[in-house]
Amino acid sequence: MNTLKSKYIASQKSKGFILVIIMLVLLTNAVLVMGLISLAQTELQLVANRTAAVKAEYIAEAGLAAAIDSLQQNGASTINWQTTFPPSSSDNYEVTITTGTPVVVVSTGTQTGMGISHKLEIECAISGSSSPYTVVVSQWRQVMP
Amino acid sequence: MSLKNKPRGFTLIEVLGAIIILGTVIVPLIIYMGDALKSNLDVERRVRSTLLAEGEVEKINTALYNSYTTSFTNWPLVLSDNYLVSRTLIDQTANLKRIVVAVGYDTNLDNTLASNEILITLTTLYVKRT
Repeated sequence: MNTLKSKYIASQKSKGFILVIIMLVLLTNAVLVMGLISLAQTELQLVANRTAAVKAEYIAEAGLAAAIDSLQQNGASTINWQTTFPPSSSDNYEVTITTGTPVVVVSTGTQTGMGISHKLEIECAISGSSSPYTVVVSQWRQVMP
Repeated sequence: MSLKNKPRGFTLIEVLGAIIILGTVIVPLIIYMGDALKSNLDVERRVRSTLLAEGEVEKINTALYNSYTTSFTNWPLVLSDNYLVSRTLIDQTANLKRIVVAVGYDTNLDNTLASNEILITLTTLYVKRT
């Protein structure tokens, strides 16, 4: 008789058990999906930063090319200028040429969308008596911010 | 009452309730999961496009170093798998060429890089050495 009673009680206690199982399954799935979404968002941010950094690097290289062109045409003179590059974009490069031995050129490319900058520096020697001058680059380095 | 005849397991109501709850919650979860996977694919394509674009700019730099009047009309449009490239050279000044490289994934597989397929555009300058 006691056995029958205990089995009856056990049967009553097991009612609603499926709800607990469903809740556990849903909770597990929700946690997994939230983790997946968070990971995807982080990856998107990472790739956006990387893309902006690469763009900034090439913009800085464009600044160096423009500086070398200026040195070839006008010779060494201390000068600083900023140009929107590519044209009709909001990105830009800023170039500083400092005369001396050697001549130092610093170019900073900025990708304004993500606010990422990349700085490059070269050391060079200028020779020749008239335009076009010869520019020989002896050092090329990336300057850490 | 005999124990053997006592119903065991879940009732039809319980099972139906479970299906309804699971259905209403699992469907949005699966949709979110699909979005996350799609975004993962997008990330992979952007990373690969960036690497391919960098390589392409360097190839153009080398070609210009070897010959400032190099033309790229015969260079392949397809870089790898379904990644396509568009190369443009613009004479900025007499000694400066602007290099524009756009790389993207050919989603509609028509072998043409449409503007909505471009994933990265790199622009730089190349100076002719005197």
